[in-house]
Amino acid sequence: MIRVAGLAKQYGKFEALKGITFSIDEGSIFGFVGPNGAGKTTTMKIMATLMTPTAGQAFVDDIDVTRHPQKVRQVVGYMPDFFGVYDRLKVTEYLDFYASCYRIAANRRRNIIADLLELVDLSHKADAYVDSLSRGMKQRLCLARCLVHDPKVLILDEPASGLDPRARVEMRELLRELKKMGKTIIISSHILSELSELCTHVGIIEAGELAAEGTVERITEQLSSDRLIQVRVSSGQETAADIIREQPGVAVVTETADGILQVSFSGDSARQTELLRKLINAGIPVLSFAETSNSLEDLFMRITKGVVQ
Amino acid sequence: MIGNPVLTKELRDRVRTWRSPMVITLYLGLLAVVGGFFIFEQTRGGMGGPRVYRMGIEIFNVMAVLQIGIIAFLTPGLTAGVISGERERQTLPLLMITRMSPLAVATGKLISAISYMLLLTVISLPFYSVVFFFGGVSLSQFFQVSGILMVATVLLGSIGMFFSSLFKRTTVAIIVTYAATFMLFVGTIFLTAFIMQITRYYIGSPVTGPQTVPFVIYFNPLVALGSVLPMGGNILPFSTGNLAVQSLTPWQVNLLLDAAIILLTMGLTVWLIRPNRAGTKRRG
Ligand SMILES: Nc1ncnc2c1ncn2[C@@H]1O[C@H](COP(=O)(O)OP(=O)(O)OP(=O)(O)O)[C@@H](O)[C@H]1O
Ligand SMILES: [Mg+2]
Repeated sequence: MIRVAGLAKQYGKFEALKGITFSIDEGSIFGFVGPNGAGKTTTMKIMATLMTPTAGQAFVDDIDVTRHPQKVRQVVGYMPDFFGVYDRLKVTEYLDFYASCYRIAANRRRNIIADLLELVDLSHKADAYVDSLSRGMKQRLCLARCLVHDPKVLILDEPASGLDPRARVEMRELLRELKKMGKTIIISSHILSELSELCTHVGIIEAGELAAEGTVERITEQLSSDRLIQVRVSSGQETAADIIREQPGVAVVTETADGILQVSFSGDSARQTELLRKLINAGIPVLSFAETSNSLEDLFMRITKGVVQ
Repeated sequence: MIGNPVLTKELRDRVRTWRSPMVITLYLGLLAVVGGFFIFEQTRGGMGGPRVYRMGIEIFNVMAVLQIGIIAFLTPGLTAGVISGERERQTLPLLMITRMSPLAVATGKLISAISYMLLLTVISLPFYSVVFFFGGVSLSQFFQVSGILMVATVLLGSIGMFFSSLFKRTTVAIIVTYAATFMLFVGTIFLTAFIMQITRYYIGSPVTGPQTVPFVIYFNPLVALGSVLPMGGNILPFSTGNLAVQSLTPWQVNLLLDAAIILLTMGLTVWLIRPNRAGTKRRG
């Protein structure tokens, strides 16, 4: 359905994309995650035919984006990371304008617009001026806009940024609804956990390179062979840290707060009990010793080593 | 063209802004004041003899010059923001990924600006009836002048739109467009005078007989207007000199130049707003 092969983009001398490759199956939701400046927007713009890559290829609905941009535009709905709204235009007029730009016949537009407003829950704002809408409403309106020509593929650049928690949940529901309608969706975000529940596949990008890609389960598995153990001691924090560091399988020890040690540890349960025993034997007053769930945020922080600021 | 969504939207937008009624009122007021003052001045000595015959022609001349002045004043403002405004609102990439071709977007924008100027012309038609009341101006002259005013609008409009797509910021585009307009109307006259001075003093030209006027003057829209207006000599710059092209009338040469500029600027605009460029950041 969607295939990106060795995609590279250079801005002057700066390499924003260093040859990324991935593919997305029809009907799936692909989450594109990465820190600021990783190259998410650049990739999406290329797929939306708004930019030509320096090297590599991208196929959307198996159509080459550089060779047949016109055809690609008809199957893609693109929502950029900004609103792009006209003032002095009402909500229905706004959608009607884009629908007519997509050459949708006037007699069909009315129904399409009514349905879309219903879908994004803006029917009550149909006659309001676009610039009077709240941020969340504008975001939903923009989503409606990229649906006017009933595209198969949706490319959504940070559709949930700047939304309050409730609006985020609503946006997620909306995207699930769209998935049910059979759309293939690519969505970008800074926050992996935000996407993990929604997406079937995730790609983690950093500094123009794809750091990991696959189903959410596989990525979690692949990256969480490490366990994260939190050790709380009432005293002797330094000694405890030293003892832990000497143990086999211990990757990193961070002293997060007074008396709390975060241990990144790879090894089986036997090694883990061994670790606890060593601490007790050394007379360290251990208050708690618990495996914390390896949260997606931690994973994300570890994969993206903060190369991009 | 009616099916051009950009045109429809732009027209609605122009009608909706508060500026429209204000501009129209100002425009009509200006025409009325200048025209009225002119008639008053001319008829103070009584209304009789050949003066009345010339009266229609003179009012016609004044109105035509006034109108090209208004076109020069308003068109840059109407067009220099059409593309940069879309960039500023970040709507240009969204528009360019629809099925609208860059050419359709550019023509829609240009035609909407021109229709606005056309509207101003149509509502000033009652003033022209005064001209026909006095007589002396033929209908074909009227249409010729209208045509030239129209071409001037398209010319300035396409220049404005070109700068609007070249520069990211509307303010820059507006300033540069007004500068270009000034160059066309005034700059060409200075440049012509300058070249004539140089040739006279340094190269030496025949002391007797009219001097040849350099080609640059043809870029001036007043050349076209002056050469079709009855008694247009007062408007035609350097009317005593020999124009560079003798086989064509001045307005024909000007029209050819205008056509070339319009094609060039429109072509560049289309190139500048093509989709895979609309998404990139621009200078200015
Ligand atoms: N038009 C441009 N000219 C020059 N450099 C650019 C341009 N657009 C993006 N870049 C650079 O390319 C890199 C990738 O940018 P991109 O916008 O794709 O990142 P992103 O992953 O979308 O980041 P964010 O999360 O902040 O939206 C950044 O370092 C950015 O500075
Ligand atoms: Mg981005």
